[in-house]
Amino acid sequence: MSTWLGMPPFPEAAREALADTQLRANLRAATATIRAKRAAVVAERADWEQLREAGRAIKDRALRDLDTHLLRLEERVIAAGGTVHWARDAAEANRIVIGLVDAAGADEVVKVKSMATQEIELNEALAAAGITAVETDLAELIVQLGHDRPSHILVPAIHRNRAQIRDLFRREMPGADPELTDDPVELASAARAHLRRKFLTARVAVSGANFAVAETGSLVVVESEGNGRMCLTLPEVLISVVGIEKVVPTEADLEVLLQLLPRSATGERMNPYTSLWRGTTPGDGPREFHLVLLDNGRTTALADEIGRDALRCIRCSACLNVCPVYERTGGHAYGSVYPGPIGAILTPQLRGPDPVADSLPYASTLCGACFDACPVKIDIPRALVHLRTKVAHGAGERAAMGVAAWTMAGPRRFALGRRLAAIGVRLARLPGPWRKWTEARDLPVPSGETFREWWANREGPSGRP
Amino acid sequence: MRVGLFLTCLNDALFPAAGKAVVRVLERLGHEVVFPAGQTCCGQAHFNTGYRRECVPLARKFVADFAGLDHVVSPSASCVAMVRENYRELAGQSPPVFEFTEFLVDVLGVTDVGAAFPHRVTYHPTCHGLRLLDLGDRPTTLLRAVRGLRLLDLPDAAHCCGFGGTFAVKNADTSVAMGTDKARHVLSTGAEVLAAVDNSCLMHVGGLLSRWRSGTRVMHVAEILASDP
Amino acid sequence: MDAREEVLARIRAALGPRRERVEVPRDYHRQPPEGTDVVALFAERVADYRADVRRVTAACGVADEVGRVVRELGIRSLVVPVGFPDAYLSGVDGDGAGGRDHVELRRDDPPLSTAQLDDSDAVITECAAAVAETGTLVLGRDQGRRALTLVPDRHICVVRAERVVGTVPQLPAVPPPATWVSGPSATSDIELHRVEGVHGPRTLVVLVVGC
Repeated sequence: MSTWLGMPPFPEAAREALADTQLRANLRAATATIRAKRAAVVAERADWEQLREAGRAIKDRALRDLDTHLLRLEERVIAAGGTVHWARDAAEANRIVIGLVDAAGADEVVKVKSMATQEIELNEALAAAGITAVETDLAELIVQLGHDRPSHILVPAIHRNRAQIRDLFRREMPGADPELTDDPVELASAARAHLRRKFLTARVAVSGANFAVAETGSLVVVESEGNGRMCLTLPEVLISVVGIEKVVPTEADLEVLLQLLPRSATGERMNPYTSLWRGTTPGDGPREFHLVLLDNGRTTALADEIGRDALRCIRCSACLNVCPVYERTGGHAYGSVYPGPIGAILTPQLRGPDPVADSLPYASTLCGACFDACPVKIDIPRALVHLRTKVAHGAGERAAMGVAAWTMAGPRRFALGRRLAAIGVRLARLPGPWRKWTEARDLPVPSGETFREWWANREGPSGRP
Repeated sequence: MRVGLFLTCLNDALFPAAGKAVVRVLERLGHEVVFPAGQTCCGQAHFNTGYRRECVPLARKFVADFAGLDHVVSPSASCVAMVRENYRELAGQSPPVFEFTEFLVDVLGVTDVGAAFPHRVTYHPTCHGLRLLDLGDRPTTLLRAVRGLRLLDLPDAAHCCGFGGTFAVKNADTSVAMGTDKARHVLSTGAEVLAAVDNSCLMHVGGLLSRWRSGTRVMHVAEILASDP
Repeated sequence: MDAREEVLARIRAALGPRRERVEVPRDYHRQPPEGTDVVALFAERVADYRADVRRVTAACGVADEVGRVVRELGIRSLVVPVGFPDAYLSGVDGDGAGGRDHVELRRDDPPLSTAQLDDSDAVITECAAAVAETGTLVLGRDQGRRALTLVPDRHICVVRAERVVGTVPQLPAVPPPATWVSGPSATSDIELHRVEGVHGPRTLVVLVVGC
C-alpha cells in the first residue's frame, strides 16, 4: 500500500480530485445512499439526542481520568490472561507487533480493518520485516489489491464503484473467475473464497478495537462481514493495537455506544457482528492475547482543551458522509489516514505541523453539518477554528489580516476601505489572492447611493446618527 | 421599539440595498431605527480564519458602538451567529443581536410584513442561519406571506453553498464546485430569484449565476420583504 | 522512563491537577414504547436483515420445525454445541444408518477441528438473549465456542421468547466471550449497498419459540 508521504496540501490535492468525473459520481452516489440510510434509522429513535449526550459524556468521562481507566484496563486484561504493552509512538508499536509475530514463528498475519494500524503504517513495517499482512475486510482488500490508499474511515474503497472493483479482482485476485460480474453479491463471494484458506490456516491475527472497557477488561470489535470474528477467533495469537482514547469506564457504557455507532456508521440499527472478549478463554479462541496501547500523539491532543474533543471520536464516519467538501474531493485529498471533517482536526493534532496538516483546518466551510451528525457531539467547526489559530500563517496573509483588522478598528479608515472595495469590485480581475474569486465568479457592483449616503440624506421618522 | 441596525461591513461596502430594506420594513411596522455610524465589522472573517487576537479590539468596539440598545438587528445570519457564539469570550459580554427574520417573527411577532413581490423565488437556508441560529422556517414563513410571491423548493437546500468566508479563496476550486451544484439546483427550480439571509453566500452563488449569464438573480430576503405592494 | 510510565506521565501532564468530574446522563430510553409486542418486533427486525424467521408457538413444535429446516436446506451435517437441548433435535434423522434423509450430528465434544467445521453444512444453537429493537441475537459461552457459529455457512438459532428483551439497555449481562449477531454476515463496502453473505454464515435461520 502506498503511504501518505509527499502528498500536496489540501487545496492542490482537492483540485486534482475535483476533476475526476468518475470519483465525483462514485462519491455522490455513495454518500447520498448512506445519508438517507442514517437519517432513516436515526429518526426511529425519539431519544437520539439523549443518546448523543450520553455518548459525549461517556467519552469525556473516560478522557478526564484516562490514566486511571487505562491502569484499570491493564489490570483486568492481565488478570484475564492477556499481556499489555504500551507504545509511545508508531515506531514503538510496530516494533512490539513485529517482535510478537516473530516470537510466534509466523511470516504472515491476517488483519481486521483497524484505523490505528493504518495510522502507524503497520503493514509497511511488517513488510520491511519480511512479514505479509493480509487485509481481510472487503474494502481493505480492494485497497490492498489495488495498491491504493483508503479514502474513507468506514468504507475505505468508497472511491471505487462496482465495475472498477470487478476489474481489479479479475486482474489482481489469485484464482479469480475471469467471468466475474460486477454484481456486489458475486464480488463478496469472490472475496469469501479468496480469504477462506487464509482464515483457516493463519496463526497470528492483528486487530484494533472499537472499545475497551476498563471495569471488566473487555475488548469490543464491531464489524459486518465476519472477517473480524475469523481473525479474533481462529488464530493462536491475537494482537490488538488500540489507541489509548478507546477506553471507556464501564460495561454499561457499551449500551449507549453500541446503539450510536452502527446507526451513525452504516445506517443500520445494529451491525451484523459485535465481538466482545476478555483476555484468553481456554478452549475458545486464541491462546495468547496481546493488547498494545498506543499514544502516537493522542496525549498531545489531550493537552489541548478544545482539541481534545477529537479524542471522543468513535470512527463512525457520519461526518464524512454529510460533509459537502468530502463529498466533492473524496478522502485522498486530505493526505491522511483520517479524512473528512474529523481528519481535519485529528491529523494536525496527531501528526504535528507540516504543510498538509496545516492546510487541513481550512478544508471546511464551517457549515456545521458534521457537528449535527456526530454521535458523540464533537463540535468540529469550533475545533477547526481553534486549530486555525495554531497553524503557521503565511507572511502575506498575516500582513493583510493585520491591515484589515486595523482598518476595521477605526471608522475613518473603514470609510476609506469601503470606497476602495467599491472601486475594487469594478475590476474584472481582482489582484492577489482575491484573483481566485474572479476566476470563476462575478462580483456584485453596487449602484446608486451607498447606505450611508441614503441614511444621511433621507427624510424619515427614525432618529439620525 | 427602538432598534439598532448592525449593517455588517460587507453590506456596508457592497450591498446597500439590504440595509435600506431592513430600515424600510422596520419603519413600516412603526419602529424607530438607530444606525450607529461608527460601526464597522464583527470580526468574523478574522475569527474564522484563525486570527483570534486581531478580533478582540473589533469585538470590544462592537460592544461600545451598540451600547445602550436592547435590540440590535442585522441582515446577516452569520455575523449574528459570530456575535452570539463568541462575544462572551472575546469581549466579556454578548450584545442582544438578532437576525432580521428572527427579530420579525420572534420579537415583533410578525409573519406578514405586507409586501408584494410577484415573482418565482427559491430560498437557500444559509448554514449559520440554519445550524447556529436555528432560524427554521421563519424566513420562508415571511416569504410565503408576500403577495404574488411563488416560493419554489430548492433541492438539497440544507447543503452548504461553498462560500465559507476565506474558504472561497483558500480553497477556491472546492468552493466553486460546491457553488456550482448549488447554482444548478437553483436553476432547476425555474426561479427568477434566489433569496437568502446572508449576502456573503449570495455573493458567491450569485457570482456564478451572473458569470453564467443565467438570468437568475440573487436578493436578500429583506429586500423582498421591503417590496412595496 | 519506560513507555508505560512515559505515556501515563504525558496523560497526567495533559490533564493537570484539577480534574473535571463528568456525569453521564442516562435518560435515554431503557424500555421499548408502551404496548410493544417485543417478540413480534424481534421477528420483524431480524427478518429485516434477511434472516429466515419462523415462529413456533409451542415448545413441542421446535423439533418438527428444526427437522423441516434441515430438510429444506438439504443439510447433511449439523454441528451441535455442548449443552444444546437434545429434545430440539428429535425431528432430525440423526440415528439412521446413512439413509437418504440421514443427517450427521457433529457434537463439539471432543472439540471439532476448524477443518471439520468448514466441512459442515450448518450449526444449530440457542442464544443467551435477544434484542427486539435491533433484531440482535446474543451468543455467550453457553452457546458453544465462537468458531462453531462462524465457520459453517448456515446458522440455525433457536430463540425462546422469554429471552427476548425490548432494547439494548435491557440486555442481561452475558459474560465474554460473547458475540452479538444481527442478521447474516453482510457488507456495505461496495457503493454502500448492503449485501448479505461474506465470511460468516450466509444463511441465518431464526426459530422463535413461544409468544
